[in-house]
Amino acid sequence: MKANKKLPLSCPSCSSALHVKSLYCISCETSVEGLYELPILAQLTPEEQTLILQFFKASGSIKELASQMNLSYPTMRNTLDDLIEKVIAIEQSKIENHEK
Amino acid sequence: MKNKLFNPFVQIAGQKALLIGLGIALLSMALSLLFQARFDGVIDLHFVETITFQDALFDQFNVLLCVTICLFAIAKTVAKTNVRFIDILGTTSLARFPFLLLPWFNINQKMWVISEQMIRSLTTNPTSIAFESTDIAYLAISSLVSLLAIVWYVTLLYNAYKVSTNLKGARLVGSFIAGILIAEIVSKLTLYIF
Repeated sequence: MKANKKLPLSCPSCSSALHVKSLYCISCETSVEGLYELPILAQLTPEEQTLILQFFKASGSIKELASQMNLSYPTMRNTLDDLIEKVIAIEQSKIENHEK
Repeated sequence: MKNKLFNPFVQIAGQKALLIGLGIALLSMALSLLFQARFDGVIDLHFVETITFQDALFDQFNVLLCVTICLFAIAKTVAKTNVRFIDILGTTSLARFPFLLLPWFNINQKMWVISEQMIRSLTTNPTSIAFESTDIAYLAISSLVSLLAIVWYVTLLYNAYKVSTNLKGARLVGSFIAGILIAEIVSKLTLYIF
């Protein structure tokens, strides 16, 4: 059985954000080496990514998303507000890392 | 189950909560008239000799509006996110559910008679107060249930405020306590004025 692997986001040793060093094509087995930053969306947990996709599919309607997930409007809005705060924090830490 | 008892607002808020809350207010009003109970304050219930329809109606409006307006005003000043009036009104009206349990204790004016007897014997002969053991048991059970209902109500009110405002930590606790205290004072003042 194939394990459902999760993309590691932070270093298990020092907890810093991980970067991509190597990419591999499973079709022609080409490897690409370099140093790439993970996009902001990829730095969110799988649950958060799913929520954003669901929000997108609900045409950005909190009311629609809340009814799909059987949650109240303020609960849904609070979850999205917390996610927005997290994204802003990731963006800011990215800017700070570039400035260093 | 625990979540549904203490924080139903994760699933029910806004207009849906308001509709249920208005039903609870109507039922509370009917129980007030049936059992001569006055909801004369945010966290108050007193049994009286007689109650008019106007008093019962005023009590419900007074409590609901004082809690909603005070919590909404304080949330607007401390919350970073957009707080909707309908969410506070709906959830806080739904939170009054535990108060439906209490007027039943005054069936046949029982609680009012016991408290009147207590006051009379305390004022006439405070050194030798004699009570029926059944009355003491009745008082003890009703006090315990009242205490549990108030704790349940405050927990519901706290969760209603938390879900409606998305406040966290000290800001949440501080503004909630301040809001409830102000609402209690304002509700007593409006009762006194009107």
